Amino acid sequence: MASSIEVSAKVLSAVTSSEWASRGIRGFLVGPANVQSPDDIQVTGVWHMELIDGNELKEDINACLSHFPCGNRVVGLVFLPSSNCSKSKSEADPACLAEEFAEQNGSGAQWLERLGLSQAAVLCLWRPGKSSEDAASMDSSVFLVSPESFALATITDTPRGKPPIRMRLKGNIPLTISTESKGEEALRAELDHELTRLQRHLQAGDLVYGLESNTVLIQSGGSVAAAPGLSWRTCGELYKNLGDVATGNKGKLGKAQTQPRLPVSILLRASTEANSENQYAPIIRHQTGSFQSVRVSLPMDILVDVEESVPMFDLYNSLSDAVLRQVNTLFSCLNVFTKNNKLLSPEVFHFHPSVLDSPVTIVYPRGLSDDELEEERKILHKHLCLPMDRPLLRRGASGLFLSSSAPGGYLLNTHLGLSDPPVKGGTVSTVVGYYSYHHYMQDKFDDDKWGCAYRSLQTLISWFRYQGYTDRNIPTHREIQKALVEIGDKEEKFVGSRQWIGSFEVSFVLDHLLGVTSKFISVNSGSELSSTGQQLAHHFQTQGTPVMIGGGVLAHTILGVSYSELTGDISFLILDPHYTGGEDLRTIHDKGWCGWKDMNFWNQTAHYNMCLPQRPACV
Amino acid sequence: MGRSIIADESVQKYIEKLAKENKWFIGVIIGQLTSQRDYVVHLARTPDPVEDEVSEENGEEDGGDGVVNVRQKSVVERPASLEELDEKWVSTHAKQVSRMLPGGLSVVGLFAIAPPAMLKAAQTKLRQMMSSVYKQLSKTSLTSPAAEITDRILLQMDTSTKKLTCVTVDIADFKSAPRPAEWKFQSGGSKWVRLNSNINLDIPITVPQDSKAQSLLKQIQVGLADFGSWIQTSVVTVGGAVRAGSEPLVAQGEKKGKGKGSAASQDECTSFDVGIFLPFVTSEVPQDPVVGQSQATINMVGTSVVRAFVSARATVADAIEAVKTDVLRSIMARCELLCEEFDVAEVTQGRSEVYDPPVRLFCRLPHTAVQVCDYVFQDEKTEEVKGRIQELLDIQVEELEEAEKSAADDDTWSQPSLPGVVSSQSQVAELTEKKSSVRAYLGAAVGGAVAAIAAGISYIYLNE
Repeated sequence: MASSIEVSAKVLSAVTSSEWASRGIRGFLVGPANVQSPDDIQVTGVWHMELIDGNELKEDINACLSHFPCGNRVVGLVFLPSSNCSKSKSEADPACLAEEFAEQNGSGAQWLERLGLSQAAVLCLWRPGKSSEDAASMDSSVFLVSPESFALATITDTPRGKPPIRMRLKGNIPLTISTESKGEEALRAELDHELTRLQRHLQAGDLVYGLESNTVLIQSGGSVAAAPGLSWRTCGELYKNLGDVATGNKGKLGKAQTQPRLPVSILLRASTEANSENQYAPIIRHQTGSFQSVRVSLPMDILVDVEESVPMFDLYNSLSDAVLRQVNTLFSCLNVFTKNNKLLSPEVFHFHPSVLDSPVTIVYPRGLSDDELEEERKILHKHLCLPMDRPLLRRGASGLFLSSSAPGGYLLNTHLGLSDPPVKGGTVSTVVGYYSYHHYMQDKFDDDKWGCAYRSLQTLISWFRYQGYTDRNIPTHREIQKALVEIGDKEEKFVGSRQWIGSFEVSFVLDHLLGVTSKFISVNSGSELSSTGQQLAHHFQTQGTPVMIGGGVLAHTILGVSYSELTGDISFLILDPHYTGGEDLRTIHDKGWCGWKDMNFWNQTAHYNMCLPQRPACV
Repeated sequence: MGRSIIADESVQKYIEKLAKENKWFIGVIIGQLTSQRDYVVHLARTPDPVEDEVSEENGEEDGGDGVVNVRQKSVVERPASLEELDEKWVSTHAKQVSRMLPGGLSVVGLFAIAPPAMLKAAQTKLRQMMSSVYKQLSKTSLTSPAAEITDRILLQMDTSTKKLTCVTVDIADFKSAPRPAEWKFQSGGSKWVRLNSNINLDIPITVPQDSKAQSLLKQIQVGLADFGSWIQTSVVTVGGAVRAGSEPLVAQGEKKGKGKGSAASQDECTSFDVGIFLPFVTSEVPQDPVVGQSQATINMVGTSVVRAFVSARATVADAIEAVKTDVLRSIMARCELLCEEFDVAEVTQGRSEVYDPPVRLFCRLPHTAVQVCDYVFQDEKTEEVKGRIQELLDIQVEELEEAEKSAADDDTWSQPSLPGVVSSQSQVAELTEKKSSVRAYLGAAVGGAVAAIAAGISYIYLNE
């Protein structure tokens, strides 16, 4: 019987549409560490890298895993066979493939040993034959490697059963680095020294993880210090129990929001067992001279996704492994970006690009601009098999998936949670990525009856900001007006006025402030909007940006379209900037301020212009 | 309502003994203040400033030591009355006693025993004394808990009527009137719970170029402030559990022989191992590195024994507070003693020195279940330590429990050859790999320490 391996559709699509330079083992497959059935392989992430030889495998794996939530492990490899082993040949006779695999990199069994796995997935990629229509993407097959065999496996994409328990571990580890000489060497030596110190603490089990405002401490060996009488064997039991404790607020949070991540803190165990051999009373080292002292902190921030069945013992070890990996990453960032004897604080960012199944974590040095980090991002895009034409890992795009609102309290992606559009057999195409809802009366600014296009423009700009295309703030009405004066579209007196703007002004501002060009769709009457289905669907599929539409005296934002080519039925996902109420998602949904609208929504006789922003190709 | 103070029977005997001597006495009250009631375990008279025997020793052994000479000059006669007392004399005693107390116990007040007329005349003086004692004590403490009790006890006995008068003084507000308090003796002594731990210290301190702190002690004290507040935020487990602060430390059912007051109960002392966990705080705002120029780096590394005693009626929060106090008090005590003994100001620029502060030992406070501690330098003899304990606490002790091992104890103790090497626990051990000149340095310094201790009574003048 052919075994099956669960590979997420997103990962498969990312892997096959990515560029792979040469043959051989070219990357890791990442998936949840399933302790209950370790042979059950799920692939939820990929890490493309050159594996020169096995010597640095451990570091390579750690570098890979440091970008994925704690609770993941390497579950397999990406392999590019030579032309001798074609897809059809390999699938028919995996032994040939196994042989080639073994020739280059050691047998499957050897790899299993290196990776510490009993079974592993090997995702093979082939360049498409000339006959293939979609030349951009590669052919793939998955094989299951066990110590005895190398067998073709079927790929499934069945969603996982129970969602993992999500946690977020945070804590700033302070460092004081004093160097006597000015040289960079001394600074690096001190950094190494501090790193060693932390590594020792980790090895000694000195770090402890605190839950529920530190009333529950997970200690080395998985023992839990909590209120007397409480004990847990697995994460599931722990979570359930803590859930019970925290029920006070649970009801109010409701189900609409994503499951919040359980905050976890890091503590240093200062107390120690009595009188071990190397224990001495405190001494004081005193050194005088002229030092440069730098105080910097390691802003630990780790996402944790663990299965309910994970025993506490394993949880402690996974957390400590993840902490060690991040400590190493942060130090490496400190080291790499130390120039002219100056340290840049490392900062941790979490991203969840819609093209990936799992969040990814990146460390960037604080103080370098997104432009200066372009090369870094290119490398990371490559590692993560992300498309090279869109900025998925810019700082501005980070963290939004962890909160329900954008900075400033604006609601994010208000269309999530709406019921399906009423179009039979229609294809739904919507905005890709994050935007915030901007509407009348926000920011303590009364723009009722005149500011709708400004608000729609703000939503458009929010998309560019939250996708990382820009780090500029979302402009106020005044800033928008100033921009229009700057480009000569309006006269000076326009600034501070309550004059309306339309689709063209929106595009001018996008161009002037963000360098974003726009396409237009114009219709002579609202009734003609029914013909725009295909164009809009194409826009959302290829660009994914929100669209501003102006007609008559009203402006709206279009977030998506549901269109049936067969029947011509169409429905528009509208975000209405005329809303004057508070940031209450329920009202916004119930009253239709964000919702699917049919053709009756439009003024059948008004002329409409749509502004469709085109995203620049960049990383 | 005034405070209610419960003193052990042995305290009563001590007072009676002093009252018989027909002299005036001043001294410190040792005990524990709690929100419910206060417990007094011991009184220690402030030693007389002069004793011939000791002066002789000074002369013989330390003729060449400038410090001791100064000390000799400062030796004064015992004043004829309380009113003529030098406040410093008492506050120095209080400071030294305070160092000798484990967490939970502290100098909770002063007592005076004198004839009625002298007492009456000395009322203002006694208030001033309270003030200077608590100013002195707060000077060297690293942090004070927010909800600290600010009342302190002033107990007086009139030698003619043998009548005890007890008031409390608010040290946060010396202008306020003393409030009467209820002082009771309790036979059999109070029951205590002992809390044990060991804490690994690795505290880096940098002394900024523009630091106003002149002395090493001051520099350490300023530098320890961050660590002090970190300890205050620590999570303390009691018996391996994280317990609610308001819970009683010992459940009612677990208390035994309550009210019986049998002699045996003194020996019984429930004890808990405590764990100390320092949380790494998080900040939402990213921080840039803070770069500064410093004139010195100081690093305190090693393991300190932690011990605290709280009343059997204490809450978990009381116990935790006592543990934190012990950690900080012990660190400061070591640094103070070190700096008092070594003339560290003479360290030349660019030099690196490793000092070993005195190590901690404990002994039982007679007639009680609690212990007191002392810090002992290398080469100090047991008899000298006992002598000092007798001098400062007015008790005879038999057994000394050496709770810590000195890094310098190892005869391979050495100075690290590279800067920045000493900063982790295991590296203290590494220090001991090679012999070097520090040994000699320490030897010389210890000689001075011995002399100082031999100085006995005048010892307490050292700190002026």
